[in-house]
Amino acid sequence: MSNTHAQATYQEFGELLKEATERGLRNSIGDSAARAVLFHIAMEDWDVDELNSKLKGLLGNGAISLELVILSELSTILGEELQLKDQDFVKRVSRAEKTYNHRIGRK
Amino acid sequence: MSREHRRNLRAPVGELIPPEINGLGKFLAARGTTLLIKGYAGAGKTTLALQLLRALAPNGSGAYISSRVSELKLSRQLPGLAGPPKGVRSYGFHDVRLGTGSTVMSQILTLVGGKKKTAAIVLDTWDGLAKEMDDKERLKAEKTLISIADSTETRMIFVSEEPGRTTMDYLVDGIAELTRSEQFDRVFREVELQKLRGTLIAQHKYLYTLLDGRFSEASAYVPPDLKMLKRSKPIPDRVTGHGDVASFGGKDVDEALGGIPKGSVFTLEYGERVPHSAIRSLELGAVVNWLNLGRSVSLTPLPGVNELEIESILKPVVDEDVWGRRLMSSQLSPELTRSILGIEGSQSQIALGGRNPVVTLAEMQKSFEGLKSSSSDGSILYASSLSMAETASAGNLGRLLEMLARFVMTVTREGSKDALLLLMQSNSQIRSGIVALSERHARMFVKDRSVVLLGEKPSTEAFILENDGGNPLVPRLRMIV
Repeated sequence: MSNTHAQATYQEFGELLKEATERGLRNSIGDSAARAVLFHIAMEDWDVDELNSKLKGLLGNGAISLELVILSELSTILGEELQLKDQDFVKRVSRAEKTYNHRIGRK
Repeated sequence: MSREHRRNLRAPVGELIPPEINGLGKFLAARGTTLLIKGYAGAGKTTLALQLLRALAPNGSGAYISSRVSELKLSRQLPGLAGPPKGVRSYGFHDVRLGTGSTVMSQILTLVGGKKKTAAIVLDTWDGLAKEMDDKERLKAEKTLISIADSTETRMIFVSEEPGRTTMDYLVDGIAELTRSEQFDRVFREVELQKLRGTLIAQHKYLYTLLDGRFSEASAYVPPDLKMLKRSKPIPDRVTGHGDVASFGGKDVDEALGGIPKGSVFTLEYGERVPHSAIRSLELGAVVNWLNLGRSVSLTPLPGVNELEIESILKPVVDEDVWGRRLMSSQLSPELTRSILGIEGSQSQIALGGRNPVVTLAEMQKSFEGLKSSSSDGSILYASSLSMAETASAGNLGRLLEMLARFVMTVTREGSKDALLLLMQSNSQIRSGIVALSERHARMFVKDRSVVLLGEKPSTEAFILENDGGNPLVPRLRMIV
């Protein structure tokens, strides 16, 4: 019973990444463009590697500033300050995923 | 003007990127460039955009995204460029008339993200979709589009009907604005290259035409190469119900202006920026044709052109016997003009040089008689620049006009086979008087570096003088409106 409750309470990290991406895109490129981009980067399982590659494929270096906004949204959602420092977007999000999974009791 | 010849005077089907707008071609050669084509409704934005798309995206690698017209309608409106509705064409047609900004962007992302590389996309019209967004949203969407073009190396051409500056003006790499202006009751279409980042714009404005459903710009005037002078078969007079009409020596000019009716005055008015070589090509074309029909000519060249220069131009293209017999070429000097007008003594001595020096009014009249007797049909073409005479008679322009009126009476008398071709500057103080004396009146002026020719009496379409490397005295004309 407690296990079922835990699964219902804690979202998969991929879901959180999707939400952060949606918010980030809407804030930075507007609703119309965000909807179009989201349609094109849609993934079954939200994975940061794939997200990074799809954004860079569409927007080139323009994706870098977008990823910073996504990271900022992910910080808000996780309640944890995420900064790139000397890491790239993929590494930083992967680390945040590990921390998150650890926090919710997943390996 | 015959239908066939009207067709011939139209733009040749050649390069898809208008060749003279070379800055545009060079600019679009770089992948990922963005161009905004803006202008009023009916200016030819879609025509230009489709022409560019076909040039930039051969082998079906281009896309035309339409928010305003269906595929079928576009094919009907521009059959030469849009192709048959279901036929093979070099670009994909995407109808987004019922779409939103978001669906259009989605369409673009599908095109640029596909396996097959999209070389160029035309979005016609962007503002039709953007108007549905608020300002902030629109700016963000536009920035995203520019970013997508850049990162995917896809050329994007945005078509806009919005007047004035919009956010897109600052974001795109290049802007071509299609405008129209009115001059002498004619509408002239002009394309202005406002910016082409990274490309030198040697000429900012061009005249253009949409004849035959193609965007075709007018080339800047280039003086003809006199080395290309060659003798051509003279064109005989055209017999009409109102009398015979002499030729300008070239089919294009004859078709455009209707020729020089015999027993009449034809005034060619020219603006101060018109190069002498352009005026001369019409004037001397008529002179050479007249001479090569065995007739005589009295020529008063444009100021600054001496008899020796005229001789060197005419020598390769006329018979040897014209010299001293059928051609009198001399500048109407101030002294002779004043003498003719009776302002000074009629015996004023002047040195004119050349083959047929004329020193007095009496000698000039004697020369006319000599020309008449040497002419195969007794006729003379008087081809006269008024410029020098007007300068010389400053303060006595009324007398000059009176003298001209008297001369016109002799040329236009009943049964006359003579003709008077007057060359007059547009700023002539006796302009209205001269035009009133003229049965035919045409105008030459410079616009956007092109030399434009149009008939005022009778009214004709506008043409530009083109140098096709052919005979300099047989100018090529292209209809421009």
